[in-house]
Amino acid sequence: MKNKKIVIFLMIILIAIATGVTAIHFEPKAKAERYAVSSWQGDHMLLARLVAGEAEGEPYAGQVGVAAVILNRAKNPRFPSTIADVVFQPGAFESVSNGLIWSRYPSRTHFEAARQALDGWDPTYGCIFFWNPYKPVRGWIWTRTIVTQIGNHVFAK
Amino acid sequence: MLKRSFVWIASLLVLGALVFGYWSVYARASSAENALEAAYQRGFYNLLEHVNNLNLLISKSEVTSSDEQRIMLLTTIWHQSEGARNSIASMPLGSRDMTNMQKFFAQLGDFSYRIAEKLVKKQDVTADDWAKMRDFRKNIQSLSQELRRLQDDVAAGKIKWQEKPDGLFSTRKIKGMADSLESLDQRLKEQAPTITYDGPFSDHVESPTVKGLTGKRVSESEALDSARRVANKIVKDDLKAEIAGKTKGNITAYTVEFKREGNAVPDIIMDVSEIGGHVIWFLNTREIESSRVAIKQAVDNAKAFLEDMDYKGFEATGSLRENNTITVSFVPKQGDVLLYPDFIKVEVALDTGEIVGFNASAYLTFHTERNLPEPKITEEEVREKLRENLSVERIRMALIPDEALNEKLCYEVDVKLDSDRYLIYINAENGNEERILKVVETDKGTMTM
Repeated sequence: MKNKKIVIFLMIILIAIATGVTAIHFEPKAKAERYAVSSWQGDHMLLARLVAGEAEGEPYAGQVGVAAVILNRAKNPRFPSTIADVVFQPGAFESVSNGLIWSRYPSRTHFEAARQALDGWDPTYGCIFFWNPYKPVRGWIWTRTIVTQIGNHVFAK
Repeated sequence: MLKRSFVWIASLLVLGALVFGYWSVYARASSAENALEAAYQRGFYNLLEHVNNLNLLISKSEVTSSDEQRIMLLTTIWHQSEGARNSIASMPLGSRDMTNMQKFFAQLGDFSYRIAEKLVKKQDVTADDWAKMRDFRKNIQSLSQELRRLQDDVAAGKIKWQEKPDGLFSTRKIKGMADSLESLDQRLKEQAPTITYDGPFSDHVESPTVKGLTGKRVSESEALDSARRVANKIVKDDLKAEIAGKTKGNITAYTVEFKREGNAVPDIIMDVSEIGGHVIWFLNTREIESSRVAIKQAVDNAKAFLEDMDYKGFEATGSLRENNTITVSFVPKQGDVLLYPDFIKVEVALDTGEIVGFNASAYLTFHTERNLPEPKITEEEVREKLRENLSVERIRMALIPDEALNEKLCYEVDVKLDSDRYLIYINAENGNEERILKVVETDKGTMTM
């Protein structure tokens, strides 16, 4: 009986200490070791990660569309001019803010969709916005001209 | 007795560990928060500086009577505008509408660069150009004033990036920076004019006029028919086709999905234009297994498919091999001139040699019978103009688009310098060197950059 209590106490102490220690030693997972050298491969990887983070479970055309929006933004005066700047613009993409872009490794389909967009396929015809109409978004976004809806995303200019 | 002191000691240890745990989490969070606030403030102060510099530079460029000086000032404006764009992009405004401010700086920089270019090439800068510059300055001035007002609020601690309760028990929020900047953006939306000029960020580039659509409006069932005709060329099985939606981009299109019996996911997705019922693009989403088909065979298949689609007289200009597919680019000709803006891409699966992708959106957007100018320069003159260390492999005529979508008739000169290959484009009307592309052989195919 006494031993049991001691064990429980010890466990609580251990858990509490562990919380503190892990909080100190927790390292962010955002490691870039998987980046390839060439810029094409770098862009491909980043696009595939964003597709995985933003369009998991979407139809293939919708995944190509999400990648195409990133590429369209990089060419558009309304957005930064490199793919990395577009993807990492603070607050622009939910999956970057919540870390999903790092925790979810892209599947073969995600890589394919990213590649197809880099090759010039654009099911959105030059769109620079996409959002899920069934989730709450900022009101101004609805003032953009909607071009199409693919799966759970509307695409707009 | 022993038992009691043990309980006390243990409880204190637990309490201590919890406090320590909380403290370390809090310390981490707060240092991360401070680092973010610092990064955002840096973006804001940099923006402020760029705007002040721009204000000064534009007014100087209007005053100077030396064109050399003006060129220097205009290129510095371009540089400072790009800096302003980067500063905006570094602030946490991604979910806000900052598109107008971004565009404003992009166009200011781009436009200044074009004026500098005109001055360098001794072309006329019109009164209208200077009027546009004055409009930019007016907007920069008011932006600069507003930003300085915001800066005062920041300095007084009235305003911060991270919106959070003011103290532990207060519910009053500090007004966020993001709101203030967004309202400046919205003001620019109303005040900054839309401008058209010869640059990549001009308003006309964003939505080019569609020229390649021929024929009359087709109904849903006619669109389905033409989609089926193309699908029958690329797959043997009988797939169920249905209209999945309508897309209202620069080309209005029906999206057609082809499904195998019992499949939830479409096998082929295809867009058919409402005008003329042309297939704009399609993708076969099937898994592609390891390569068995030779590259030459795949390119021949692509070419045969294109002809089967009634796109005749095209020339293959490049190909890119990725995973188990190869994407071949084709370009049509008018006479012996290659029309690069009107390219079509065909993707071939290397396991069976089947066509799995097609993209004619550039062709349908840009293709039209061109009124090509007579070249004022001969091939001989082009050869004489080139540097002596280059060995010319081939010269042919080509129409190329510039960044502002202007089309230029050029001699495409295929040259070698030692073992490196380049394509040099010499304007056939005035002999200007318009562009240089480096041709790189990779294991994926030939890439130009």
